[in-house]
Amino acid sequence: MFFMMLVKQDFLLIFRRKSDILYPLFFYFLVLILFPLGISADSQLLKEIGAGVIWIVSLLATLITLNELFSRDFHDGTMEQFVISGYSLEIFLTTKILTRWLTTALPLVLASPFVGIVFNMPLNAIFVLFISLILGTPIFYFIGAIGSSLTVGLKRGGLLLPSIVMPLYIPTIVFGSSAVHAAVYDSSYNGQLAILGAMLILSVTIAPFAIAASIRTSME
Amino acid sequence: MFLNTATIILFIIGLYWSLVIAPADYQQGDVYRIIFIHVPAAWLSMAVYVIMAVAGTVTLIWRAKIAEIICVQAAPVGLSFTVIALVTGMLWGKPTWGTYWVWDARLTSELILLFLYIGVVGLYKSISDARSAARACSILSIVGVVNIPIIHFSVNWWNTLHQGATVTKLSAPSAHSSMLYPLLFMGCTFFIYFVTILFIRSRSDILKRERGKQWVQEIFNEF
Repeated sequence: MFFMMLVKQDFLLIFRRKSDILYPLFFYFLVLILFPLGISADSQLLKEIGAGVIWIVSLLATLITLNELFSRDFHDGTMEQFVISGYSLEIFLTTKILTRWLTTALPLVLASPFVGIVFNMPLNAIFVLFISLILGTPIFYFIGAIGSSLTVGLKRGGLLLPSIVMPLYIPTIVFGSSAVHAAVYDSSYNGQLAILGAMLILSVTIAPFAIAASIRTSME
Repeated sequence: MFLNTATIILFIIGLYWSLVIAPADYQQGDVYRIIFIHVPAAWLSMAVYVIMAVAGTVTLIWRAKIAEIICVQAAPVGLSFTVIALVTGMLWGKPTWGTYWVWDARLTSELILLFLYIGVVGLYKSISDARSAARACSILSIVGVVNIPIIHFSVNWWNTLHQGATVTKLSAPSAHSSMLYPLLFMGCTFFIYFVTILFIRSRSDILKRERGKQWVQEIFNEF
């Protein structure tokens, strides 16, 4: 009940500013278009690099939304009220992250099959791309929220956030794009997807504690 | 003061031992001697991160100021060790492997460690209150410590160009004693060096934090 109330409130807040949802999607498409234009439109090359490029651009698109994941609530006092209220801060933050993922990253993931076709990937690879992004983008959000909560109180925190969070993203990127790359070249991708799933479970269960601790630290 | 002289003496002994006395490698010649800097620096870069993470947990659980100071002041030292390990590795790689860099598991994870250190140092410098900055860095170092086992075991898990573990494994070390002993000696020397630098940095950090207190004023009034 409490959880549903939080989710409803977060959805309301996010939908009030539809630009929050649309800008990452536009960024995603625009940057993805730059790759064939800037590098080469050779279909073999696009098939080769498509896996990594789509993953990296998804990472960048989620990274730009991470900056103001908690900042609005932090700066208008809602976060403070929640911290002192005695309710579970971990659940509050998790719902914020989940609703943000649902509204911002899920459109990217749903658009990924189209992007896969643009990058000349075979059908089974597109399927693996979709699955790996569904597993991977929540990981980006949960780990990114750790960095976001550490830098939420800082004035120039937006510049520090990527450098804190990038090293933690690297295993996700490595396994995610290697899964899709393996699917493009018809080799086995189940191991990479399994590890992605494990990283997802690990980050969903453990990250909220780190995020809540960081929010409490930023409050001081 | 004792630690300073001990460090200098150990370095002189260690460097003479490794550079002059240890025999030349049959395959690589004298180039391999960079191992006596590269490997201890890499060992220390990982050990210092673990020390930071442990001090970080102590900070978060018990809020001890000394633990905060250790966690925060060890970070730049660990950063420099990581840079030394990466740079000496690159210099060693060029004559032996033919390339400065290769994206294999161990080099990549050591590079990730470099960025983790930079993140911790950057975070500390960007928060103005020293105590909350230290707590934020503690959280970040605990989150990042998961990289250390990855670095260590990466040479076993993946097929990599970097050679496997010769010393820190469960069976006897696979290096000859004439090279193993200088290596271990340099490892201890680097560790003593780290402790010396950590103490110097911690001393100045304590003086800075407690600058309003009377005992600090008295020390400065003596000058």
